[in-house]
Amino acid sequence: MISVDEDLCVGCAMCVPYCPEDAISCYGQAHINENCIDCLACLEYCPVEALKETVLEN
Amino acid sequence: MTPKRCDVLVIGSGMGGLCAAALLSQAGYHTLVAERLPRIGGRCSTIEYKGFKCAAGAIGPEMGGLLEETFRQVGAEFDVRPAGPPSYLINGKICEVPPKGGFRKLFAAATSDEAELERVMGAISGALSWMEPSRTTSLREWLLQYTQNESILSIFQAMVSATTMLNASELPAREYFLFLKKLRGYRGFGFCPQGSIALPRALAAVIEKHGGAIWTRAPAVQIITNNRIARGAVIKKEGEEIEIHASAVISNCGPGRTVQLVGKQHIDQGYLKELNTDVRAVMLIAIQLATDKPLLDHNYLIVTGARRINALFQPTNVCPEIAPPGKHLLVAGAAPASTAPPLNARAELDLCFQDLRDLLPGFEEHAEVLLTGTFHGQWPAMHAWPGDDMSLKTPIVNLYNVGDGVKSPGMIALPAVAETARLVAEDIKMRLAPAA
Ligand SMILES: Cc1cc2nc3c(=O)[nH]c(=O)nc-3n(C[C@H](O)[C@H](O)[C@H](O)COP(=O)(O)OP(=O)(O)OC[C@H]3O[C@@H](n4cnc5c(N)ncnc54)[C@H](O)[C@@H]3O)c2cc1C
Ligand code: SF4
Ligand code: SF4
Repeated sequence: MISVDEDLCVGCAMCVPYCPEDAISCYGQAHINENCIDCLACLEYCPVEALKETVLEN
Repeated sequence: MTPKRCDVLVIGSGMGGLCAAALLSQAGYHTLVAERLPRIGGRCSTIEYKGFKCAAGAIGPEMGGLLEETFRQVGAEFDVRPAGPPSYLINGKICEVPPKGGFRKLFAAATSDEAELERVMGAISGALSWMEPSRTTSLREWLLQYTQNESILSIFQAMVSATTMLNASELPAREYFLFLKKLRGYRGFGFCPQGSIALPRALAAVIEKHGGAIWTRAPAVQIITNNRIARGAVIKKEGEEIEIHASAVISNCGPGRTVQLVGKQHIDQGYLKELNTDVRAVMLIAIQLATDKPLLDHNYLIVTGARRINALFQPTNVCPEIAPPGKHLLVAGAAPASTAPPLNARAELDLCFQDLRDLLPGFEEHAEVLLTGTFHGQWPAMHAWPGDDMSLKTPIVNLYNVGDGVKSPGMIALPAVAETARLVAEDIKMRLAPAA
């Protein structure tokens, strides 16, 4: 799943348009909501590498 | 993988990197630009969203200055339409500014005290024609010597925060007057009908025409040095790390990141100290709205006396191409109360939205918020406050910085960035010959 590194995210909203599911909102920092389908499309558009793919261990 | 070679390796495809690469490839240097993001232009680019060409950073490039001159010189198309002069909102009334005598007209809208007006005008004309004030006082402190009038002070606050992106209480008075002299207060700018990305695209076409290359999704992960001389960089591309050897390396990723790519242990102590103590990022808030009717009569309105908003742009007045038919794009700019971190982003944004409701009748019914962006830290309005910039050269021989962390005094934003590229390109042409 995708997560926002709060120490890095500057809230520039540059990732928002790249999400096909409207799953990112940005107000000071990016927030990923439950619509996220983990397509990772947003990942490479963050200019400060604040979007991370976190691998859940089970 | 075997190392590749080029004359000049440019790290980052912002306007600084691309202007430098275009100038050098035109002069016969084999040039490679490596950009980390999938899109070129850095903070002068465009993102298509809901049918709008939204700004990824700069919205109003200067016309008739060093930026346009650089495009002319390399033969790149400069697709920018004039925005016209700004209008001002002062004490709830619109004030249009004539090409000459603008200050007088603005202050006359703010005070009826003739003596006060003459005092301020006298001080300004002295600072412009004789000597700039000290860089130890802020513009606000300097002004307070001549007027306590809050309306006049708020005209300056809006004017400088909309252009230099610092508050009047932060901007050194000296920088403001240098800015007025060098950039004429940033009056002549325009909007790009195809979005700001038209500018980096035009430069990229020039670079490719001269045999250079632009790689996207290609971050530099290390700058290679040997005995304090730059030898190239390691670029990550399609999962591989590629060593690129070059006679000169130009970094466009900000002086702080450049040092990280070299490794602090290779950098002069004094340089590091300067970087850590003097260089602060400029913060900015930009809110982009889609509206179904024009909410603004103006292309560019400088807003005085609001909580946070200092400027409103409606680029669709002159460039309807930016929005779907019948729609408008409205961009609001704001400076946080303090440009010193940490930024209380939510509180600052709340104040911006209160302003928008007050400033734009019909905001609730006719505006949809497209993007609410705060720019600071590693993705700022500018990498250094005007007047606090690092030098173009780094302590590593043949490693240069370009961009808005290495501006010259009085210069801001895109024209400043173009100037850094021109100076670096000139220095390289003087010092290093292209490989045959
Ligand atoms: C919201 C906003 C509005 C603005 N409005 C205006 C305006 O109206 N007019 C104006 O003149 N200026 C404006 N500015 C300022 C202007 O956008 C910037 O000064 C200018 O675009 C900066 O250019 P640059 O070349 O210095 O850096 P950037 O544009 O930041 O370019 C640097 C590039 O380097 C890349 N990079 C970073 N690290 C690496 C790496 N390791 N490897 C490879 N690539 C890397 C980045 O991805 C980026 O593309 C605005 C800025 C913002 C944020
Ligand atoms: S991973 Fe895909 S769905 Fe999830 S936020 Fe990013 S772009 Fe949207
Ligand atoms: S692009 Fe990156 S820094 Fe900008 S809002 Fe999205 S996650 Fe945050």
